Parts: sequence; structure tokens; C-alpha cells
Amino acid sequence: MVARHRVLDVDDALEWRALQRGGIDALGHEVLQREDVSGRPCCVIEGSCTWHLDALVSAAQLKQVDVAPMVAEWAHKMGLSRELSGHFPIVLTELFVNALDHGILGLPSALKEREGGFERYFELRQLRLDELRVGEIHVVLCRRWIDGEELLAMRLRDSGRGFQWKSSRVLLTENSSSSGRGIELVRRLCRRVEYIGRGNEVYAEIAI
Amino acid sequence: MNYAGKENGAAILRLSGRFDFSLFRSFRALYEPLLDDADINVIELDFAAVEYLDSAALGMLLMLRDKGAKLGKKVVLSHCSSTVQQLLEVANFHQLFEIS
Repeated sequence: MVARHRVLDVDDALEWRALQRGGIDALGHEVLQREDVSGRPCCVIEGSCTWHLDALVSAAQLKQVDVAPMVAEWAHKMGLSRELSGHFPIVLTELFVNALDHGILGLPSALKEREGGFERYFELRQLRLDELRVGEIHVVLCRRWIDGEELLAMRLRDSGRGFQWKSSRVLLTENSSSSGRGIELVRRLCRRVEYIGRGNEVYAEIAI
Repeated sequence: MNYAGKENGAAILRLSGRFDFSLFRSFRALYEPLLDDADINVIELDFAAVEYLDSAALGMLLMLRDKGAKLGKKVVLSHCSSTVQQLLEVANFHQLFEIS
């Protein structure tokens, strides 16, 4: 991890909400936009990799992307057969969809919790995808060995303002609500998951 | 994804390929008549041909389970591949569903 980054904490979550309201925080102070809020997505994984992949998915691509097949292709490019890739494809798909839905399209996850919310969510998703002009997701994948274990490190950064990820864990079996289910699944499948900045960047490691 | 008929009160839905949010409507259209059918007390989802499922699919399964439970119908997940089975276990679904 790069030292200057830190895991998103409560203050960052407040700051994110403030930014959504137009740059004023809960106490009425103007929030300075950091470079990474409006800047181009640019992320790196430090250290050596045996396999490496760097992909920038632009707005034009995001409008048409079918995430799961794209991720399957990336897995193939990382030298991972279907047997070898294990749960890596679902983890990366969930992270990418989160970056797109919440980061780029600004869809509130809570929408799915309401009666009929699931459908409304996907209607709104399509609507915003159709309207999308600006935005991109930068994905870096690195296959490496750490302490005698082979793992896949992934880092995603979207050009959005970050999303309000919950510090409280979601029970996957709790109810039919889909809010937070994806990231909780990712947490359970990975050996490490960290949000960076205000949540527009995530780092995850999975053993393969 | 299709309805493969019913036998002794158990209806079978065969799922295939990717089971994800894009199937929300067609999945619901398939199971709703089964919920309305008083002769059915078990809905079996055959996962034999499922290659992949996502977190939205998990939500869809829970939604069906909740609706079924209210009507006294049980949801069974069958013929899961080892990857799918692992994923369901990670999500603690083996506590909620009969999985085979």
C-alpha cells in the first residue's frame, strides 16, 4: 500500500456527503476537493508482479460493458484458467460493478431495499448509463507471490466522488435486501480489502 | 432458464449460464406461477448448468425463499458445482437452504 493513502473513515464519509451537497461539510466549512476527486483515475500496485494487467475503461465503454465476460477475459490474460481463477472473477466483478453503479452512476444502494426497489434500481441504472458522458474506471491487476502464497492483487479507481461504504458489516443472510451484499461477499472471499481515499478506490487481495 | 415441470409437489426450475441481476425479471416470471400453485410445496432450483452467480443472484434467492416461506413452500438448491457451493457456503446460505 502507498503510505499517503488511508482507509476511509467516518470523517471521509462526512466529507463525501458534504461534497455531494456542493462542497460544504457538516459544520459549514467548505471542503477542499482533493486532486483525486476530479483528477483522472490513476492507480498503481507497488512491488513486483509475475503477471500484470492495466486497463482503463472509459465512459463510452462503460455504457456498453458486460462486466462478467470482460472480467473473464482479464482472468484469461492473467494466465488464469477457469479452474485456477477460483473466486477471483466474482470478486473483481462485484468491485467493478460497485465502482460503476455507486462511483460513476451515483446509484444509492438503499434503493434496492424498498418494495419494488430492485426493478427501480436497474431502470435508473440503465437511464444513467444512457446519459453517461464522462467517467472512467482504472483497473490494475497483479499476480504475485507473498510468503509462499500466490495471490491476485487488484486495485480499482473510479472517477466518481466515492461512495458511502458502511463500516458495519452486513449479514449476507439477513433479509432480501441487496444493500451491501456484494462488498460483504468480497470481504469474505478475500484475504484483504481496503478502501482508499473517499471510497473511489479499493484494493483487494485474493489467494489463488 | 426454464421450468422443467413438477412431480409429487416439487417443481423444478433449471438455471443456466450466468445467474445474475440481468435475470431478475425472467426469474421472477418463472417462479411467480409456482408460488401461486397450491399443489407445489417444494421449489427446486437446478444449478447444474450455472457457471456463475453474483451478489444480486444471492438477493434474488433470498427473495424467493422469503416469499415461499410465507406460503409454506421450501426452496431447494440442487446440483451446485463446487465453486457455486463454496460461494453459497461463504454466504452462509447452507443455513437457509437445502443445498445439494
